[in-house]
Amino acid sequence: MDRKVKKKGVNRKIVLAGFLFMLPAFLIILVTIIIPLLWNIYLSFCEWKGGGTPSFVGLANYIQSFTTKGTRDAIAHSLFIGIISTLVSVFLGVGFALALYRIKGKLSGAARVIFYSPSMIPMTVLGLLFTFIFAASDKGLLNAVLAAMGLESLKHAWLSDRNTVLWVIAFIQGWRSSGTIMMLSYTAMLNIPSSLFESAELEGCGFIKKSRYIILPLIKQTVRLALSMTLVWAFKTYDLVWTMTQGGPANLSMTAPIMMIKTGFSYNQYGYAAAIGIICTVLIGLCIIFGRSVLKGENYEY
Amino acid sequence: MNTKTKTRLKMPYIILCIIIIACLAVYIFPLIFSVVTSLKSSEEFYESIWALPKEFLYSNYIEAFQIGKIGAYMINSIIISAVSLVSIQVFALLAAYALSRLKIPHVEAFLLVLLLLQVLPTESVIIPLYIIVSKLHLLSVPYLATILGYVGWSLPGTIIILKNYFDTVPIDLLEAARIDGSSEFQTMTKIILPLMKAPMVTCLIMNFTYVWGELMWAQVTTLLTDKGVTITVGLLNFQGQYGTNWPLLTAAIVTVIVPLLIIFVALQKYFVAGLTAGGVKG
Repeated sequence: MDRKVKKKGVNRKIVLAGFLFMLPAFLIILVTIIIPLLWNIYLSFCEWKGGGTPSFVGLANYIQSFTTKGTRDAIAHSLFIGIISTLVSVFLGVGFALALYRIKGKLSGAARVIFYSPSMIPMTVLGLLFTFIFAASDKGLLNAVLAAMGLESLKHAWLSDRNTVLWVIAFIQGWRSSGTIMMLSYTAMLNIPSSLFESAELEGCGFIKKSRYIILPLIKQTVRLALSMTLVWAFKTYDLVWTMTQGGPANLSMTAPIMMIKTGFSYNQYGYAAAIGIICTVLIGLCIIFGRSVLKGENYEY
Repeated sequence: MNTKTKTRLKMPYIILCIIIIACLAVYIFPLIFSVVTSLKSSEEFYESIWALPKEFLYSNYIEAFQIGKIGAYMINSIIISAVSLVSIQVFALLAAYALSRLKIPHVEAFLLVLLLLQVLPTESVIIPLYIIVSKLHLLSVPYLATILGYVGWSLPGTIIILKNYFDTVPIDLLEAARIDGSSEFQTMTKIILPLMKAPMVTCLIMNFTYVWGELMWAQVTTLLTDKGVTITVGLLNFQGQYGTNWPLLTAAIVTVIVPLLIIFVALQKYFVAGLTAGGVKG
């Protein structure tokens, strides 16, 4: 009896310590995420210029977002960049991971660092670097390379042509995220026990068959996680676009986050900006659900 | 792998290596090109972008640091990153330990909320948070508002990752420590943390990459001031000032990239170990 009471007391003390340990993180998350999120949802139904009390306008901001061509285009551009760059990054990332898993050894180690390095470098820096590479004049690296190879006809004003600017941005975004996908997939592959390959090797399966039937199904969970991550990153493309084109020329590369910041901080239409933010959030959620359902299926435990 | 399969696979294996090396070249080329360009004078660059510099010119770097204030921006970013990373790590460790080992009721519900918050884009909170920090007059204190946002937004993800690692620490170890009369805090710092090196480095690198490179919030919090401007915002000012003076710009780019690469190469062993041990799954 006495012991039981004592144990209960100890347990309560542990739980109390637990809540104490969680308190700082909880407070910060409350102030930086939860309160702003609720406020943002409220604000998106209001008109507010930054001073005075917000006046409730119902769905007007949302209706305006979907009926204004500029905003609709910005959201469509974000979706385009999100989808293309996710495809690029999953393709490159998983491809590189498989190749590095196959070749092993020193080259694999060095390649891992180099393939991952773009993911470390700030987007702004990459943006500047790629502005340099894709610059329209002959001083642009890509145009210079094309000229040097005698492919003058392929030279482009990459960042001011409506047919190329979004592709260029989507590709850079995907290229950058591919490092993270490579790293996650590669480490997931390392966790596959070699016993699973034994029978495949006895059957004389090549690496391609092994990848198709053993490795890829087993790392599907990881790929799914990586997919949602890159989608979120890509949909949020702010820094890359801001550095390279600032949404221009003539809003051709305007993305939803840039639109939101401009609406809020340049035009002081905070309610409208909040609505754009909420629309982005919902669309990202839908994209993630869609992406995950494409890759759904059994999870294999090993 | 036995010798038989090895010889049979030799040809595709070599082709694969060649493809990888070719890709590596494409990855590295822009960086090398930037380094070369940064050592040229503007005139040399416009004469021919391919030519190697006649003599190594360090003046671009000196100019970037002095006139372009790259050095000052770097210091701001270093302060912001250091304070943010330490805060994230400490608060996340405490919370993750509590969620994993301190018998908190309804842990699953807490985790679900954290997971949802983690995928929430910054876009959905940035404007109200800006209003909050400006109402609280936090914007006049350099660094503070910027750091607050970074810490808050990084916490959910970091807590989830660290919690999963704490789950792998055997519970007997904790019980033994408790019986020996060690306090919860002592148990955590003396017994558990040494076991957590790899996951901590993993989180550190991930958060550092985010904090060092973030642009939107850094721009918003320094809209009305030129104090505490981070390297990302600074680089854009720099680009605005120097337009297409590529030798100078590439010098700034190289200055920002090289320390990052050094840090990563130094820590990458732990990074991979941390990712592998955790078995990140979704």
